[in-house]
Amino acid sequence: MWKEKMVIENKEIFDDQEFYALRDYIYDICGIYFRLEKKYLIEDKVINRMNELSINNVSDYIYYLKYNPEKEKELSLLYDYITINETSFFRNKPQMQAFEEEVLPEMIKNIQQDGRKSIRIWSAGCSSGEEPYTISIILKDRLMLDGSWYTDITATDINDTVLGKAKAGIYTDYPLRNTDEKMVQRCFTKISDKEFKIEDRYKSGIRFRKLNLLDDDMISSLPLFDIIFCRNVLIYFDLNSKIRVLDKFYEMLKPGGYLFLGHSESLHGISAAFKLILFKGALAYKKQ
Amino acid sequence: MKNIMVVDDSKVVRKLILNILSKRDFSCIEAENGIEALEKLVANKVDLIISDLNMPKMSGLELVKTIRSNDLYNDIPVLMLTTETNENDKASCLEAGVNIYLAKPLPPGDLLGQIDSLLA
Repeated sequence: MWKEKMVIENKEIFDDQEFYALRDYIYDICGIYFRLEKKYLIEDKVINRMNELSINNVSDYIYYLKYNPEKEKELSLLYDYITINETSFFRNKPQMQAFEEEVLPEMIKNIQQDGRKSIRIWSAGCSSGEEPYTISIILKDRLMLDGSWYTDITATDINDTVLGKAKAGIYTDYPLRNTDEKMVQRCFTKISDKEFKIEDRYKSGIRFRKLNLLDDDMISSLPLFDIIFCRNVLIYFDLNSKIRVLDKFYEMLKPGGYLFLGHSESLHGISAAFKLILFKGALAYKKQ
Repeated sequence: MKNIMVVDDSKVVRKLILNILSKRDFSCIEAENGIEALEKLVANKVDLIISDLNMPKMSGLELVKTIRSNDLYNDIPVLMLTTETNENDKASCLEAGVNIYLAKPLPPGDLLGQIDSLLA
């Protein structure tokens, strides 16, 4: 009956009330907020999954997500449906250039003045790993931080599927489209016609873990960071969730630490705790 | 088409200026203070900035100083349009790199004329 309904009524699969119920559940568990006009982003995938489970209404699906013995696996699938994992190596080149040429030299100098030789960076919302590996390449290949430096990159995401891909470190040429050829040759091994694997030395120092940015306890278990990247993640959140996450980032940054957001993201109207620092074609936010 | 950024904490003032600019073929970006202006500057191509002086979070003067100290943005012309008639404020702004310092209110024709001179 459900499949027949899909064939006959192809456009309005969720009515608004069903969508709101699902939207509110998603918001409660991870802070990601979908406005009604964004219903199409999740509708098809969730409906298909409900069909696979022979569930024909949203209330039963939410019940399944909450109480079924397979709920963790189901939640992983749901996170996969609701997050858009479009990313690439060296995404937003001006920003990565500012990170490499302005922020890192400043941080390294300050760290050394403190008598330390360790740097901690958090890639919050790391998706399939392109960002933390880019950071690792910059630290080790570009800045050539030697073995006496302890570099710790914590790479987190709510989505198990992309974390698995990140840990594997195997990519087609599409995510490498912004990476110059010589760097690809230095930092990757071509393992097939269309696949490149990141060299092990760039994997070392990166810890991938599953983390929900609204899980305060889990975040508090992390160390303090020198730099946090959270690019194109906050766009999924409503204002309250954004404020909450940014307050946490402020808490998790060492004094003088930097926060990098996505190209079109802004702290305007959300947090006044950070100082905006303008670079060439990029900006970052500094904890005073 | 030239892109003009209008920076003022008053929505009414921004709308008035945008209304004047609509008489020409400009594309406009709004910001309500210097911080928002910088965030939008990075994400958009801007050919001219019209800014108020006194704004919360980051003033027009701070905005100009930040822009003028950045290699990528330091040649963007800035027109300061403000109710402040204090000569010290004017001197500080011009020294910081404001191209033209004008008092509000300004007749639309005069504003457009000044914009033309900066974009020439």
